[in-house]
Amino acid sequence: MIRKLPCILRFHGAAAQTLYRQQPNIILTRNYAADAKDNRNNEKTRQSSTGSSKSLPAARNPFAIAQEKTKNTYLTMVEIFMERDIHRRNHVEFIYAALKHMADFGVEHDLEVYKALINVMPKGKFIPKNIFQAEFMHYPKQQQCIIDLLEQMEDNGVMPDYEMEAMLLNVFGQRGHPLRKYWRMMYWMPKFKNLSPWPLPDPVPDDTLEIAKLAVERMCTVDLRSKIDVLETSELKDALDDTWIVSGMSPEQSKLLREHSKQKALYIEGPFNMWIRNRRINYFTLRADADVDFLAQLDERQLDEDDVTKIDVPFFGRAPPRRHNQLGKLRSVHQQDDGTIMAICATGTSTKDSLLSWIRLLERGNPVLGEIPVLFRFLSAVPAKAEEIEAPSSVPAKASDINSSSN
Amino acid sequence: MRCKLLPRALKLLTQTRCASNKATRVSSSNSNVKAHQSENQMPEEAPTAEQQLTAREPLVKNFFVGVMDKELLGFPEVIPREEMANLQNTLLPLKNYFVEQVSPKQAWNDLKQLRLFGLNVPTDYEGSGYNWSASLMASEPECNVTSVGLALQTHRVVVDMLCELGTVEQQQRYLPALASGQLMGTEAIFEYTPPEEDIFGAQATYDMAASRWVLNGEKAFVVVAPGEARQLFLVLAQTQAANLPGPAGVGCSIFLVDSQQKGVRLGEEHSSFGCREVPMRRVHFDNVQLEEQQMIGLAHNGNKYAEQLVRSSRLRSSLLGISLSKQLLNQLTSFSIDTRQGGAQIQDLELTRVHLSQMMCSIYAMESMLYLTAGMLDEFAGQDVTLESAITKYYTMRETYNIATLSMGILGPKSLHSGQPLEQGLRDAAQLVTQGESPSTLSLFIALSGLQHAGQLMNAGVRKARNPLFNPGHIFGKFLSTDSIEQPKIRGILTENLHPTLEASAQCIEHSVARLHMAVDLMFTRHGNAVVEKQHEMQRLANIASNIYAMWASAARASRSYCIGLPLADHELLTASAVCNQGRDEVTRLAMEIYNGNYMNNDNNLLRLANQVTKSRGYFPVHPLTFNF
Repeated sequence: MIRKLPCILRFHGAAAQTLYRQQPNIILTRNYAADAKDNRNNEKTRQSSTGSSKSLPAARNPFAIAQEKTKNTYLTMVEIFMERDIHRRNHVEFIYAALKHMADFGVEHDLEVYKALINVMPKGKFIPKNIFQAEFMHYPKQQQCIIDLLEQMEDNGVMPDYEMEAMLLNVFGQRGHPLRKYWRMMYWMPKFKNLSPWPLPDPVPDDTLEIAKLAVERMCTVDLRSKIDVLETSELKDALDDTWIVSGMSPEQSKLLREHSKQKALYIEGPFNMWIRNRRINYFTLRADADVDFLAQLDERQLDEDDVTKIDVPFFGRAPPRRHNQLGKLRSVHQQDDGTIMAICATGTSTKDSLLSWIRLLERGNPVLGEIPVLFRFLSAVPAKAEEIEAPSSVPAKASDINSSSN
Repeated sequence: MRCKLLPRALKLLTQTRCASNKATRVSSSNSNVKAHQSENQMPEEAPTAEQQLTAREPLVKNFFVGVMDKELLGFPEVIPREEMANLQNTLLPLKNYFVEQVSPKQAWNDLKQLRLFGLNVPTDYEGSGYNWSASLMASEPECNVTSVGLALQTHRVVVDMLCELGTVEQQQRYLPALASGQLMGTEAIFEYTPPEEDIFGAQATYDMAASRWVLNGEKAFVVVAPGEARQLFLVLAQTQAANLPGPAGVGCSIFLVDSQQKGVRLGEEHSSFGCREVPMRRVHFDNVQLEEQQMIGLAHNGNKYAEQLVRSSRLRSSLLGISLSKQLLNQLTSFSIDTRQGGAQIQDLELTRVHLSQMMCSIYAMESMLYLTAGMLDEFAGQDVTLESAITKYYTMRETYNIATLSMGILGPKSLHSGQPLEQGLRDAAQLVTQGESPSTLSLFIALSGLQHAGQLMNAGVRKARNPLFNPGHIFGKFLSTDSIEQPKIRGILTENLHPTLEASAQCIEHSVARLHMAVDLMFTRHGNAVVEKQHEMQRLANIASNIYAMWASAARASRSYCIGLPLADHELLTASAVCNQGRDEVTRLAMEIYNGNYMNNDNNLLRLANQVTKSRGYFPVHPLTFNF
């Protein structure tokens, strides 16, 4: 029970948080001039989170003003901080600041960086001397700081390693709360790590084509016979856009297409969204209206399940009998209640022209497609063709800049 | 022996008299009415007239509903005594010919002189006119050379089909040539890549104007006689009934195609694993024009005739398996007698002895099943032996392969050394298993046929059991009954039809049949007509049924042998007891698995795993030494 107390405190404790954080900000460097805007923002958030109107001296944040935002500079700054004086004053504030700017440096998935930050903590100082200190979370500010760091790792899916356990042991001792947090993480995170039925490569490739392939492959897992083709519009003479098309279609779908009535139109629908980790892919479907008669017939086939007098014995060449299929067809996974999906695709430009090229290219394997009318039915505006976009001069260089200003 | 084999005895009596043209009345006071009738109706001046009794209820199909025909425990004696003597005389040269290792090439040339092509062709068409049992017996010698046997058996299947289903015109046209060996019959049924939706890739269309059929397509694994022999292919092709468009009108028809017809082309030769001396090839048909007389039976009704076709080919190919197994056993026995290893003779090792006896028991069961089935075919007119023949083949092929692989354990790496007789045996066994219908198809066929029969008879009970709240009486009756699958109640009806030594075996059979019946009842009650989708359970059912038939046939044969005092009959009794004991344990295990259901018998786990296996396209676990962090 006692052990749980700090946890309760932590969960219920906006108060606790504010307590730890209401230390005056301390200036790390002497460069006041730059980045006034950022400081102001920081201050504003801090004030709103603490709810106190007391104005505090602004902290000088080395991470915000770094020119070159790379892992190396990040680590160098941590190193500078560690070597500056023996007392390492304000290391908690430093770690919080460092945590906050990780994304700007693109190091939020890097275990080494987290370790470097933990290493900032002095070793042996924060080890509780007795059981009461341990259970009542002595050195709350420091412990909470590292717990927050671990929390951030967890949120970013960074799994700690055994070296980190040794570091935490050196800093907070056997009974330290960060170490408990670490142990819980090491229990759960490996179990969750590979739980996804559609594992993605790590790291996820940055190329849109590769991501589109991943997306289409993932959607095509409903039918194991599906084939993913990467088509190039340049194969067609009159294509306007020169781009790629990732198309997924299975032999089952080809068969459905062959059986589709030529009087009934097919629709290209979309764009729909699919998220591959933090990247969004637009995709389109080639869909026909549901074959109502067929589906109704399936419902009507009210078979008497208790009747065992009509068992069929197949001779060679016949499929093994199925209960619902003594005569007639089975419903395929592509025949949904709201429509029959014939194929899916993602194109490089997501334009009408590229979709048109897609249909043309599909016609090669499915000549019947040439005789069926195909209509567009879009959920949002889709450009007719790709336009050359010239970058305006005012566009911010990096997405992180926009993020930080809106903080 | 207290066998109730009176009708049979009478029949045999009349046959022998018939043969010697001295038909006299039997002055038996308590003779069976049926036998009397058949005897009275028998024309005295026709010595070769078929003397078939009226068909009995199907034997194994009735096992599925727990009914046993104890009369059929009398092993059939369908070849009359004198004919038997003649047959054995004619077989003597054949046996001598095939017993020494003849090369298959040489054998091919001698087959015509040995008059082996016309064994089952009626005497009217210059054949030997043997019935099922006799022709099987007569083809035993040639099966010593598996490749030759394989080719001859498929020839015989075509002859069987012509005799049973062919018109007189067709018989006159083909049978004499088939009997003399000028024409070599061959089945062309299976295809290399079966089509996704249709029954067969080979399709025939009817040309109304010319009233001809046009055949197109390709067949594979067709046994082809070496040399330039003319061939008669028995082709199963898909046809579409003209008045029924769509899938409802799709049927298949059986055609006889001469290899010298225009458009027939022999394709590439399969380089197969076993039976290499007999070439197997693809056969292409390009717009082959077929007259209407070249069709066997009615158009689009091939499935109806398929029953006769598979029955014949199953029985005849079982014979090959039996011969091969016998050879393997003989070779292994000589090896274990002649070899001393580490100061001990192999024959004295307990493991070897157990293996040898197990092989012996299997072969005994196969042989008994084959001749019991053939005997029933000969003895009763129009007897339904679909299931019996399927079981015979299923059991034979499974056990032949087992025996062939057991030799690997006894002989070690030598058994796979090329040129060793056992190596060839193993390859031939593997080839035979895959030839024609595969064991898994057969097992499904066995279970489905049995369920079909049982479903018609048990429907009322199944309906009640599946709706317990509407039929409380039925359910209470079930609760109160003391019959259980572990300890079924039996009535001891079989004991009096077997020699008293086999009383325990008779009980084994009765227990097993009762268990099969209960298992079928359970499956129907659990799944209703979805039972056809439970293939793993059906396979268990097929194994149960084949074990029971093996027990039945072995016990029947051993009882007969002992009663008439054949050589080593006491060991036959021992064999039959062993078969029955082993069969009962196997049946109990399988029936309990069905009784326990899919959560207890591991089926559920396996089916769930299969999902992931297909999703990952094969083996999915990562390497055992993989780190996760």
